[in-house]
Amino acid sequence: MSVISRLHRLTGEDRKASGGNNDGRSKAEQLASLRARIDAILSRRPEGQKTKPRSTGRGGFVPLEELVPGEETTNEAGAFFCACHLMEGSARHGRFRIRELAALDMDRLAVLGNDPALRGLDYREALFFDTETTGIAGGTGTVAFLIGLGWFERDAFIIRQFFARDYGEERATLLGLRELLEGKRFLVSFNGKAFDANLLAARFIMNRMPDPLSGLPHLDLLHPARRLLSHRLPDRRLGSLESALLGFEREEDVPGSEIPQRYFDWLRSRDGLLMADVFKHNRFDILSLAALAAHLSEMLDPGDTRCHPVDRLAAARLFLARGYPREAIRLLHPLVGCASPETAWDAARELSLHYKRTKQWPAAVAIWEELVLRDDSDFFSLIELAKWFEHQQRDFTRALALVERARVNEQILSPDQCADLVHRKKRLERKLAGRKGLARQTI
Amino acid sequence: MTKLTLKEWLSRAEKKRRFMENVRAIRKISARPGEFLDYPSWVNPVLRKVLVDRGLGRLYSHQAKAVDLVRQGQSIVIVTPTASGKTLCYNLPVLQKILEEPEARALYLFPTKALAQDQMHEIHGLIGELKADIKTYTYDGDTPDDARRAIRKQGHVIVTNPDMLHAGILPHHTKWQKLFANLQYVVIDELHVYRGIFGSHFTNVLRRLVRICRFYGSDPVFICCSATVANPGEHAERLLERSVALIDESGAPAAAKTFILYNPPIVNRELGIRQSAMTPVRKIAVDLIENGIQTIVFATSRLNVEVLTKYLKDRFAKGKPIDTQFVTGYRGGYLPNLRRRIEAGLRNREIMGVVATNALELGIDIGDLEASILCGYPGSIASTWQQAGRAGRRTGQSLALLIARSSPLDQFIVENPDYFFSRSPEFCRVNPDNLLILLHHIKSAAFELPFEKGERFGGENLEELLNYLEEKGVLHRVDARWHWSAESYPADEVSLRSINPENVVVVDTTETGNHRVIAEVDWDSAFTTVHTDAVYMMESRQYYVDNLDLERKTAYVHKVDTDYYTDAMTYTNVRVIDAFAKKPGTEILVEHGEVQVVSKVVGYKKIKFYTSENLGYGEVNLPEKDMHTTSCWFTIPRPRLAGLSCNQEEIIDGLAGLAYSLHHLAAMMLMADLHDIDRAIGDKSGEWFVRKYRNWRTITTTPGGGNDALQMVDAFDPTIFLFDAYPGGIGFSDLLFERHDALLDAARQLIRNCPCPHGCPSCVGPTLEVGPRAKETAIEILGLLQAK
Repeated sequence: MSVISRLHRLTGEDRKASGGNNDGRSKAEQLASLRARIDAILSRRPEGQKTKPRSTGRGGFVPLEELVPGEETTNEAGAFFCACHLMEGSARHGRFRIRELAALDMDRLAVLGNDPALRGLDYREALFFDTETTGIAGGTGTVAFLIGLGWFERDAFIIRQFFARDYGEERATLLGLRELLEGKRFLVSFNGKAFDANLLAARFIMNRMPDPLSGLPHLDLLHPARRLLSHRLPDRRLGSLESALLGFEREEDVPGSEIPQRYFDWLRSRDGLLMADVFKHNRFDILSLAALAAHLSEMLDPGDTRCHPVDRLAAARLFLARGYPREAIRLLHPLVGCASPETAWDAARELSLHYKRTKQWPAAVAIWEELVLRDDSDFFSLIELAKWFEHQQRDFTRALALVERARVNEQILSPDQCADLVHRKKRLERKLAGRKGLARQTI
Repeated sequence: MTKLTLKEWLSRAEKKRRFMENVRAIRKISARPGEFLDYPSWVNPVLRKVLVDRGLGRLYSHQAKAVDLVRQGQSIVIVTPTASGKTLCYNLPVLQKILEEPEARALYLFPTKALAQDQMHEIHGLIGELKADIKTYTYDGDTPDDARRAIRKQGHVIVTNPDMLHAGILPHHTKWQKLFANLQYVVIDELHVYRGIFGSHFTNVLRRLVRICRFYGSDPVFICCSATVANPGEHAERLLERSVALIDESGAPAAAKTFILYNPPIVNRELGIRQSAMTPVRKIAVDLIENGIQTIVFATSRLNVEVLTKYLKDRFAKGKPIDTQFVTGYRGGYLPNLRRRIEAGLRNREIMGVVATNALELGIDIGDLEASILCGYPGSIASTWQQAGRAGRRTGQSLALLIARSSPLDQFIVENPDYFFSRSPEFCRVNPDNLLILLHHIKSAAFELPFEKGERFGGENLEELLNYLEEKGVLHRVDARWHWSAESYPADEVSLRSINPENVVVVDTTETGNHRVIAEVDWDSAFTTVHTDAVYMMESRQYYVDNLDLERKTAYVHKVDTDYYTDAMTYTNVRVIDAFAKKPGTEILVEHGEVQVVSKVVGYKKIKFYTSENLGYGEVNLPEKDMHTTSCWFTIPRPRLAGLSCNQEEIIDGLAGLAYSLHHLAAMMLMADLHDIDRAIGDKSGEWFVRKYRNWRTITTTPGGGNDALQMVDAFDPTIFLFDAYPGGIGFSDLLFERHDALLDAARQLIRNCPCPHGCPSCVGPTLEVGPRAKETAIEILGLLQAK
């Protein structure tokens, strides 16, 4: 008996239909029933395989070439489909014109990426990239079937999308990527360090090819975007950044979660309609990546006053975290006097703590005193001043007086803050008593 | 009171009549000197010096043989007793190779995390003394994410478990390029653990491992260790699918050991009830520890560990600080730090008594204890020897004491000492080509690397299965390659250890607004333990099941205080589909083959605590379960039964009683859990089957039929089925078929030698369930079965 009929027996498929005898059932019926039954064995989670919209509505089959501008490309490793796009400098992506994206300040990109190696490079040597894959679980069974790439040439933006029309073409797309990278010096991505570059590294190994990505500087915008924008956004997906910051709205975009199934369906049907949306989705991702790079680097421009104060505060914090205090101070100074009291207070706090760290005491003390003047119950400043009197001036009496002032508002303080006050007060009283005792002895 | 040495304690015990009355056998195993050989000349002088400084002046003969074979590139399996230096058989060649070639890599597989940790310490110690730059890491579910990258790149020796290899390493092999490209040795300890379903899965994991190694151009040598079983060499070759040299003569010296089999006295002869094994265990353990004899007690469940520990602590904690570690428990749920502390306490004799589950049975180093008490037969002779081996590892005198419970297995073992003390009759079986298991691993393998036309994987027609998976849509074929083509991660869909990865969660709804999950029950047991209206027991609390929702895989329960528990009633109907083979020459049919098994839970009994009185019945409405599997069966032609001096109801009771003991003994021979095989009585057509209904048995043709069919016994040839409780079979029934004579002999001995008058849980089952004449009748039927 064949393996498959034995398998059918194990899964109970043969007997339910006609008592162990398949006569009289069409092969198609058998297969359909087999599929249904095997589902139970194959997928542990019944909800794992959702039915996804398969067609985009036009019903008929349309070749990919008619929907996506591009052509078959060949190299030593074989053929693949390469989609080509050129965005002129005057074209728009959201609120940006393409040529506005091009003039990227490499010093600022180096701050964003926390990678000094970027500083000496030219923005035209950047390769923006994003992949579409057969899943997000990772592991060697996940394939990047579409590799989207973008770069600047003069003030235009070029997009190339390498598409493996079948698994057999993957090798050629990888070789294509390697060849293209010969002219590029660094990578720009959104979450590419953790995902796309890792996945491609695995694909290169699976195809027994050296990985051209691993040695290159890689600016992953996810992390700086998180630091700079977390105060404004509900989540950090590229899509939500787009509408909020880049002024770009996608219409009829295919959700990322549907993309793997679209590809599996394409493999069987070769219906271009399935993939055309995926190409568009990926193209927007690449463009928005370039626009996001421009936006984030704008935020780091101390001279750019169009930015919202909150954003400038975030930028200053990034500069501080990355070890660029001068730039941070340039941003923070004007913010101390800005219209929003919360932002002004935050800026003053950051600035004073920077002065404290660098032991520029008069500057720090001036800020704290200013803050106390504005609000005589300002816990942070009262305590910072108390610390300064205690540890720098060794004036325990004034320090204690400040602690007592902070205690007036005890009811609005957190338990930790209260405990801190009590602790500080006891210590100061001890020190004062000790000093009196000492004074008496010397008399 | 002067303390007795173990030797004095033993000679005193042998004079005590009340002790000796219960002793079924005493075997004195005399000490054996070691056989030594010099280190092979190729061993690195620094490595040799480290070992010599540790007191290992020469190698035991089996170690020398093992390391030489490994050196020649031969895969081996070492089968020697506990504490015979098996670890060195792999650590020596592995370290030697890495010293020679710093790029070389080794993979160590242990069945549990605890063992992996322990072996880590061992090899770490050696490396420390070598002062070599050799990095060893454990890689398991507990390994922090930030450490993983370094481990993958730098680890020379990766210590992990099969589950992690299956779901965490192989599917990400590109990250492990360095390991797989340079893999020289794969060490598999406790090989006998990989049997049945676990072993069938594991064989496929090894197939995948070898396939990935081939991709990276490596071809590792396998070094395996196993406890004593009947077929270690055959088992290793079946798992590894290559030739494996067997090393089973130990050159290690062995201490003198006294092995005692002890059967607690019968307290109710009518019902065949014995004194609980816990009672003598507690008394003897206390006596030994009081005499300063360091003792380990093995219990078969976590609950028993806790109960015994409490008894011993209560006894010894008087006037001592509460946290004294003089006696302590040890089991799976304890945190690693605590376990390390207990292990150290045992080594330096601060702890004089420990009560453990089999977590301490495997090779964790706890030093040389003097006495080992086994509270209940651990389920296999291999485990028994391993647990006994925890006492007296190399020198001096030691004691192992097995105290039987009233289960048929325990009773058979203590009442048949020759069976126990002669060569191991236990076989490891796997069926890696079970189609469902194979199919899971073909999917995982395709995820790892596309399949090429002409490739081989397992013993079935691979191309047919690949085409089938393509049809299903998880693979996509391009030219001569099949690529994984689905979003899922197939390794997550299979658990290597359980039959059915599905679980049912038990949710306690006693407090409104505070529902909590209190337990998980595997899919198959859920039907019998948490059906609607069942009383579910958990940590000696009772919960009433309001509803079993199979779709949501949830049982909703609330706390109750009842005076009864429930026992599900099921029927099982077996139909023979295909007989593969038949034992020739007798009228009695002994066959094995493929069967269809339909089972259904139809109702439950309410049974009163303590008195076991039957308080009533309820109906249960659950779908039937339908499975194809393999079975071994015995058919007795009607005319032969007609000659027996009993009525038809008694015949059915006799068959049921016989099936009960055959089932238990088959599990013993196969080192299987009782749930891994199952039993049924019926006829081969599946038209007639025996059904337990309320308190009588019926033979019926329809599941709903009442007892009116009782007289129909004449209409069919009664058949006892023993079948693999896993779709497609695991290879158990083939072995039962081959060894059916031994199985029947064992059943005869068990039932004949049982001192109960009419049947008891130790032989044919409780009298109240199997009827008053079951025992006699079972023996008569056995006579028919064994008639030449």
